[in-house]
Amino acid sequence: MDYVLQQLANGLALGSIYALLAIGLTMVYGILRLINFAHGDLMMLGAYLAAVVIGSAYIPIVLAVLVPTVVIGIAGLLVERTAYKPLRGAPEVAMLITSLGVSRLLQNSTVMGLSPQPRSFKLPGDLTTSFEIAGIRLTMLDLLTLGLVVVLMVGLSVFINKSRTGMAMRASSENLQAARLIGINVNHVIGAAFVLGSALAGLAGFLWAGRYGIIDPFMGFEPGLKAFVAAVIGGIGSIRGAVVGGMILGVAEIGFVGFLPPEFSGFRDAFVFGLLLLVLLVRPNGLFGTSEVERA
Amino acid sequence: MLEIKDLHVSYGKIAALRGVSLSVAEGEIVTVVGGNGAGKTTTLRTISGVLKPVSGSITFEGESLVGLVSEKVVRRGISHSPEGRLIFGRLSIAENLRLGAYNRKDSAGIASDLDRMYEMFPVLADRRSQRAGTLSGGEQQMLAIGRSLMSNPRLLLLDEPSLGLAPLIVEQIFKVIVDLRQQGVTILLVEQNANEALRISDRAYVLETGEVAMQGPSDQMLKDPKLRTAYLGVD
Amino acid sequence: MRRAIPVLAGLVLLVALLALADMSLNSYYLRILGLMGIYIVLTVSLNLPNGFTGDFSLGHAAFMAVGGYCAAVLTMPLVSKELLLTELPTWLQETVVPFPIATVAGGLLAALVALPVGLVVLRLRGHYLAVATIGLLIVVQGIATNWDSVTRGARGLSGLQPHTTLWWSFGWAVVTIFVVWRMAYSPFGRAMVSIRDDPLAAACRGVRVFRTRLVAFIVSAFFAGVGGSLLAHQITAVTPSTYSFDVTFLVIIMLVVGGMGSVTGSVIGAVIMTVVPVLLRDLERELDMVGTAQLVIAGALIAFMIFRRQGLMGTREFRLAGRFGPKASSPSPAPDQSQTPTSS
Repeated sequence: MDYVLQQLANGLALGSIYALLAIGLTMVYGILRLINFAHGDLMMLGAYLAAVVIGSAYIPIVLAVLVPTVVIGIAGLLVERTAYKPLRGAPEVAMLITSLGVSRLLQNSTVMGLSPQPRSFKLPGDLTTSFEIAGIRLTMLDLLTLGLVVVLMVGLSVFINKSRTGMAMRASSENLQAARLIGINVNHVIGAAFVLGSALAGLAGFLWAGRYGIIDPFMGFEPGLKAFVAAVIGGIGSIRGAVVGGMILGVAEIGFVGFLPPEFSGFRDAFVFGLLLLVLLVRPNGLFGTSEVERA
Repeated sequence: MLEIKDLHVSYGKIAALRGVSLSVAEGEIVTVVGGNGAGKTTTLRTISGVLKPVSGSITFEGESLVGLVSEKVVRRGISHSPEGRLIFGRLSIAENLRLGAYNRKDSAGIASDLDRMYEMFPVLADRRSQRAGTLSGGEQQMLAIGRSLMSNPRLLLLDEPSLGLAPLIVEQIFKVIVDLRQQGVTILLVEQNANEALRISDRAYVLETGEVAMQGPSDQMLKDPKLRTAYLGVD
Repeated sequence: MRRAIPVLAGLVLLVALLALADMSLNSYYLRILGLMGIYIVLTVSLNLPNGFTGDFSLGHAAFMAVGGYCAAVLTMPLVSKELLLTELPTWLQETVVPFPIATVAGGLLAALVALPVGLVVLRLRGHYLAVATIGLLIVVQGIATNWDSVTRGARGLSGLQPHTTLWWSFGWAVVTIFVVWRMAYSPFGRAMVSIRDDPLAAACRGVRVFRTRLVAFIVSAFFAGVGGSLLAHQITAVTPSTYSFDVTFLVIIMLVVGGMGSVTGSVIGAVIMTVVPVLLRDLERELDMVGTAQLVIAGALIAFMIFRRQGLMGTREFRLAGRFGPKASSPSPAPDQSQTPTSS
């Protein structure tokens, strides 16, 4: 029983990171119909930034959370304005290809600027302390991860549901043309979605690096893809769906490794994408999604 | 108030408007009629900045609108209620109306306009916190008009407001349009239902394959034998 | 018949050029040239789903892996097999298949895999299809990395014979171009393009939409498998990373540069984007900055999407034939040209 609970806790901790990534993907996809393949690479940049903060003697460690969040938020906006904005109105495929290009660009500028070699990522001591609650072993980082996701989720849903920009975001994701026509500055709305989503990706970078203790320029691509899977499971366009989808994916992935014989663990990625196909075929709108027809 | 001169618009290589000129004076209701693909919707979409003209001029109260994005056009005092209504079905009715006032900063004015809309469309008032997608077609049209009015426009562009609605509802919509004029809103109306539209409007233009084929006071147009056969379904 | 003349002339020219290259170039340049032929196979075939039916697949490398591993296991010399693959079933353990047959077998296996895969993923379109096909690639990578008894996991299969000569890679390139051209400029091709432009309208006109998309997907997978085998026998080894997402990405770039929906565009794109990375890698070595080449390529791709989305050729074709008289240009990409106008 303890083992099951332990796996569940680990799954939720991993799922929280997927959730943070998935929120950004789902917001952007909702409005622009763009799978931002570069989203995971923004997470990677966030991880590197966190490493810089932690490694520096001059910056307070507390900022290891804040700096990646803020800087990557801005970086996301920059990517949007330079690479995606010129493609407004272009076919979906053009945006998709561009985002692949951006992903490669970010990876290789990291390779060029730093090194292709993985480097270790050391968390500050207090975050690695672990303790037991009811037989489950958790680290401070796990707690921080779960806590941040809950807080951010609440904050974000207040923002989306109550604020003027949030309202405009929902309108834009339902019908971009109509939103533009009634005088919403959709570029602001899209920019806001990128800033928010990328900021969360930057934060996820710190958490991911802390969890695995190692960072490299290509670390972001697969988590990015998996986060998209999470967003699809939850129902693309829905923030609540992204969070729930992320949690489901995290728990399923950890469960797959934890409860099946070890020779299967190499197939965990295969399992994740198998899950994606299953969801797409059985319930293409995910758990909380609305059909594309309804949003037309 | 609105002056369009020699407007040319193309979709790729296909010309949709080939030198359209029309004008709307303050306080008028002007109708544009014409068959499918005549360029009616294209004209409205070009005025509101969705499409960019190849050539020609559009001036509103003496200032050019060409090259302005929709948002700026709305700020100038023109509101476009699009064909197919395009309300936000997953947002509440109140949210839809508030979004119409997206560019306004005067919260007191917005609040009082919101009340005015609920007065004008009591069906919306009763259901203000419901999803707009649950409204019937006629109610959605009223919401779409209400949303356009929330930006406090001086000129309202209405694209096929009666499309797909039951005759009784159509009556109501046209009554709303007449009321609006009395409240000082100038209206440029595009309609398939030419008969009804001509009855409530002051002047009318007939578009055919991207050109103005005919224009004049609405009551004269109503009597025009050619027009009657082509657009009014009477012979 | 008159159409055949310039094509034949082109073939003769190609053979002459290849013979000349074969004699005069050193092994480094020969390898690059051979790679060019392989990339032509890959790009032209990826054009079928991605350019013609509008199903944007990112899983080309997955089918390459299937074909590559299959052919590698078949051609591997007995000595190597005894050493490396001890757990194979006896009949496989004791057979060595000639390269051409192994390559076709690789292609066929890839096509066979594409059938069930296509039945599933082609129920999706757009972005969902793109992600599902990346998913396929990740699944195949997972299998290649973990199925030790056949693939030897991350160590891969080494000691293959360098069967892929210039003649094989360009021979297959010509076959691929021929097949794809015949498919693209036929009633089947018009069906594909009509699906890309508007699936609903195509279905209304009686095009069997799903079947057409599936056929395009499977044929594309066949040539991907062939390309996988050619690549394996050029570098004489296969590992999971031989068929990583990088390969898919490079082929996508070739496709985009050439113009999606143009067969000759794919050829041009493949040629250019085989040469450019080589030049860039030289530059990289000179600058001593790893990543420069990939960075420039990624940047160029973005610039292409922003400034010349349709690629160099768009959906047009480059044809020598046009210069040989008016009749020669009859196989036109214009969808309905050969249909006789009917009064409606």
